[in-house]
Amino acid sequence: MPEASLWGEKAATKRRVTITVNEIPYTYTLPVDLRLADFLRECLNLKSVKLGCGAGDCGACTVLLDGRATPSCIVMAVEAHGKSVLTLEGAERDRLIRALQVAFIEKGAVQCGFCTSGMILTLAALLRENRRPTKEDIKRALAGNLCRCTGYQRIINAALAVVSDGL
Amino acid sequence: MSQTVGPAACQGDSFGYEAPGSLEELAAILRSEAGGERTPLFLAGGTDLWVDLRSGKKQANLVIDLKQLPELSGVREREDETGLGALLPIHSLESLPALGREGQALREAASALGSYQVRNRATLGGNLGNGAPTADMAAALIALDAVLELWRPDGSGRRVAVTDFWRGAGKTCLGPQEVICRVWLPRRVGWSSAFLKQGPRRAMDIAIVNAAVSLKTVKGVIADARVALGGAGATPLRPVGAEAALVGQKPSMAIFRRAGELAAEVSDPRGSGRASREYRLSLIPVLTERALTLAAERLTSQDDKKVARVK
Amino acid sequence: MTDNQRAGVGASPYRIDGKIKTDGKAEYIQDMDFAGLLEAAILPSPYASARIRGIDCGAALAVPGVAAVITGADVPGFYGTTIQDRPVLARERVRYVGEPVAAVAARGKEAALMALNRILVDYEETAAVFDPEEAADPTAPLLHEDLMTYEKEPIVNAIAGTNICSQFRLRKGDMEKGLALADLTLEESYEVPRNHHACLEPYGVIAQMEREGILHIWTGNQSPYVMQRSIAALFGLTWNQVRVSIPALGGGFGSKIYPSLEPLVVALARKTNHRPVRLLLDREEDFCRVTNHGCKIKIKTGVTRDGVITARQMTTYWDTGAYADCGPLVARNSGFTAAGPYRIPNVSVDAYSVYTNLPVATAFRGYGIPHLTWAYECHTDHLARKLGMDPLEFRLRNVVRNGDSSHTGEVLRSVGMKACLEKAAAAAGWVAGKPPRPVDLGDGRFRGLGLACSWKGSMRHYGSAATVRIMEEGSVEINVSNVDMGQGSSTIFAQMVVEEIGVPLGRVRVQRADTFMTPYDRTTSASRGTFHAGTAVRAAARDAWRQIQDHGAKVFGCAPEEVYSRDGKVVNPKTGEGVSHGALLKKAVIGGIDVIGRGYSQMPGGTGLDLETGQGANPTSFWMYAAQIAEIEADTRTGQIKALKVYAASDVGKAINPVNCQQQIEGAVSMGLGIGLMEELRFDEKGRLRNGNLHDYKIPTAMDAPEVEALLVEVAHPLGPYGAKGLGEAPVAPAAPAVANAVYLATGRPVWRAPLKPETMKKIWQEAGEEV
Repeated sequence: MPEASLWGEKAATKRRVTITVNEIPYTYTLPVDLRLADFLRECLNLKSVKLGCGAGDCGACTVLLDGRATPSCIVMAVEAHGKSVLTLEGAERDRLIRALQVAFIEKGAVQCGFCTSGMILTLAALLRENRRPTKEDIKRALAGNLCRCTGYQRIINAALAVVSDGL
Repeated sequence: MSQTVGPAACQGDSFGYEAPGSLEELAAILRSEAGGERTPLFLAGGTDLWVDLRSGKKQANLVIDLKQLPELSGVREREDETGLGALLPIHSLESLPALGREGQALREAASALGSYQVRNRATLGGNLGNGAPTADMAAALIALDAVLELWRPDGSGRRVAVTDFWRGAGKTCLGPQEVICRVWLPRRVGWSSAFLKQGPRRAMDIAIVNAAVSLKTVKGVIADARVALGGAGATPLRPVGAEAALVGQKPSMAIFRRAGELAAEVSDPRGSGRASREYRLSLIPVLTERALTLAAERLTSQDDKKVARVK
Repeated sequence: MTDNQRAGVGASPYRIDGKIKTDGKAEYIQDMDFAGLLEAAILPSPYASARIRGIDCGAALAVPGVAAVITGADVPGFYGTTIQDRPVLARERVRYVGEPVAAVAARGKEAALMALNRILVDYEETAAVFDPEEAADPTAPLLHEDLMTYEKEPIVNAIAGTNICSQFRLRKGDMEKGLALADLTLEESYEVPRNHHACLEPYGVIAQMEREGILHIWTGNQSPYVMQRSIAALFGLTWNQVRVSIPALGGGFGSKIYPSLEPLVVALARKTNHRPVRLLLDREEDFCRVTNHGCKIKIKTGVTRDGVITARQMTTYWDTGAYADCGPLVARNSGFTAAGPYRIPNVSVDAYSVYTNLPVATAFRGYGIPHLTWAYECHTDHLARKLGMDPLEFRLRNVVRNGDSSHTGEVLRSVGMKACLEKAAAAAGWVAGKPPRPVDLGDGRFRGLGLACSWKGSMRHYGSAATVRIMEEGSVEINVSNVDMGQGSSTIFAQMVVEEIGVPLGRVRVQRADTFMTPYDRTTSASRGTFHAGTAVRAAARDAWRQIQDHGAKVFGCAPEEVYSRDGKVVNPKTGEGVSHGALLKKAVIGGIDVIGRGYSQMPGGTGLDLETGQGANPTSFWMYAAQIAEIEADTRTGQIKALKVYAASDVGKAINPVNCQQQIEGAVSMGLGIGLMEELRFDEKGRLRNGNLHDYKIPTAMDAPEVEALLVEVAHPLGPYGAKGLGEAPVAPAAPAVANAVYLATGRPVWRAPLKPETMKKIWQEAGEEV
């Protein structure tokens, strides 16, 4: 296989990184141009991270990087060295994320499901920052998570349900 | 005719990444690269850089990640000014108490930029360093009289008024090895400010035009004013004529409208796929006037309470 | 029991795929793992129109890791949905920017791209045409000289020596007479530019020539059996050699109905020694794969002083792009509804599907109806104003009712048009005869309401089949080839099985479509899933239940029809005791056997349409009706229009799952508002797409989303399962013209071209001198 970067056939150098993903530290030697999303999907098989645009425009690949909602397609894995990443696969014991998942089902916020993981993680980050966001706060936080199926109303309502449950 | 797709081939080159942990380390890297084959690009949030590299819009064989530099981080408070680290994520500016009442324009500009995820990633310095005339931070910082602290590998730092930072379309005064360290905002007691943006949608968009203003009144009369515009020319613009027209006047719809017209007179926006020159020109007076109205409504000092509501 | 604990027909249980999706576990094409997987990449044409003088692939083949490189010379034949006009890879000439010229399969995307960089193509640029009206002119450069000799579907009506790949004509009544009866006529031109489906999941396909001779394709497609048959025909295989498996779809909206790049991936897979080949498109490539049609519409209407429509004449030019795909069908199927849901005695429609040097336009949720509704509903408000009549009253006076004759001569039954208008109006507080007044908010801002309605036919009857399997331990499997791409059909089918068999919803699983496992279904499109696949599922469930009753009769010693179900159990009518389905089967059949119920949807009476007059008594299985009222705020100083609230009524026949119906309506409104307010593909003078990404191509964000009040009207359809009609498409259409009409009512400015971008509106208001 040729040593080539996706960017102009330049062989990317490699770096040794340690990234804690879903509470497990992983040490890999990775090409410096490997996107965090590809590291999660291809190296760790964490496929809840969806690739929708590759340019930070759609939010489908959102993960929590040190707790912050982050588009993993415009962050390189080497940039996450020493940091911790949370994807939905690691959220089984996370009460807030669990509550959001249940609310998404109960409020009918899921249709094709492709945007769903990113939506849930974005809202989890928002609710950790601000326990009582207004509807407008929620809309603003979700503006970077595109959805083509729902018209957003039920996603916003799912978030509001979790807010009013006071989790 | 023949054809190549994607970025031009340059075989044999390598693509490197460095993440210095201090300015000293950065200086050492830059010294070792000086005169070499590799052209370094600085990386902050990477929200644009990585996309541009991947699409071939930009080329680099060395990316230097500035995110580990403590000298570019955090907020520093001095008696007469506040220093915002260039690495501060835009999102953190949205609710930064250190900005004070007078810094509302910067908070609003931060809130208006990109998406929540992008604001978590994008940095204050990165938004400026891009050189885009529509950068949301740019107009706000001009309206707040910001000063940029720049760093060079030889240790000769300098301070540049934000208005002197842009040098033409996509160009800044930054030398190839120069880095924005910190943005200093003077304390401006008694000032109020506001920021407005018009994009194609209500979120997620680059501004077609944005406007930031700040005002100070004394005894019900405008004592000083700043007006700044993005998307009104090749660089962010400060229409001083509009400011001059405000000073000495009582806040009123009429004078704000006049300031908006004066701002449009000195604007020279370009047309693009995003918006025509005519549309940008037509927005400038509206956004200027509305931002001034908003800023005037925010004047809350005892002295100015009676004019806080603009008729 | 609350509604979501009940699970039968008419209840709203939670979606059966909700949990896997909220866990991020649903598997889309990009998530599938294969050993030895090769990555494909496509060399796109940089020209909208050019001759290919030569292609040199030598250097590409030498790149390490490359398994196959193909060009047009390697793949003979043509394919196409209505006209076999499309080569798998360009041969001799290219017809749009982005057309595949060569393709590579290699170990890793990097190697594939590296190989593409080494393919040399010698082009000679030729004249191109981009506007459908210009392209329809006989002097325009011809895209397909062989148009008349291509193989075609019977509905295609091509015009020799032109780029018109099909013309649809409808003639009803006497146009001259109708116009003569009118006191007032209005003639206008409208335009809806090309826009894009923008499914959140970018398109992908995997193909493998399996060792045992099966061609296996995994693709997020809405019509697995159409795919199977097209691919088999193109590559000379029998149908039972082609297996099409459908994983989860991240949205469809029409963009995945027909074969697009699947043949290309199959062509690669035939050269890779049985290794699977995967093509995952970048977002920018996906934008050029297929788009919605652009359309120019001329409309002329005559009305009497009392507001009775006497005649309507329409001419439409559909920009179908470089290859016909379903263009002729879009022109036809939208053509016979083009005059709108109104009683009009004299109607004339000429719809042209026209080749242009732009990417292939395909189906898009609504199949042309959103474009036409934009035109005839803005036009309706313009007429109402000329008449001095309330737009609601004007519509109520003219809309189709039960027993009316459609524009093709069909006698319409179970018509919910008026009911939809009345329900939306009641919710919005709009009383007929008293149009709501706009509110002046100051500083150039206005608030106002606008109204629009629409109808849509589905398609003619096509068969669907289903089986329902009850396993001995009591779990149930539904086999159906309808594709759940997010619309929720799998939950609907499961509810039907719960209704008919009485098993708990949690025991029912719906298989993903797979032509080796799930029985024939024509397609998941035209809002036909609930109606046709649902009919088949219900029949299969009833067949399975009859078998359970037979087994029950044996075990309980009673007559089969005495056996009934209660609370998820099969009840012994003698004792009133219930046993689980599984326990009954164990007792009834020693050694165990699954009960398999079979069901079909094969409905009588479909007719075609006469090629000259467009007349036909039953061209569609059912009709859908929708009416919406939009409340907007317009800022005349910036041009910004904000949709605040939409009252959206749809006639669903019978809501099998009311919440699911509301979800469909809410999403449709959002899509319609995108078309109305912001979405537009921008091509430059060379036919290159300038905004093919999700930043520059604007779809609504959460910040743009209005509140939607989804209102269900239930006028039962005699053939639909439980009375249900289809739903998915119709509510897309009224949203955009409702906004335009709200703008018209609030500011007095008519509009003709979508979308109403701030820049466009600012200009309109500025020219009118209405800027404050």
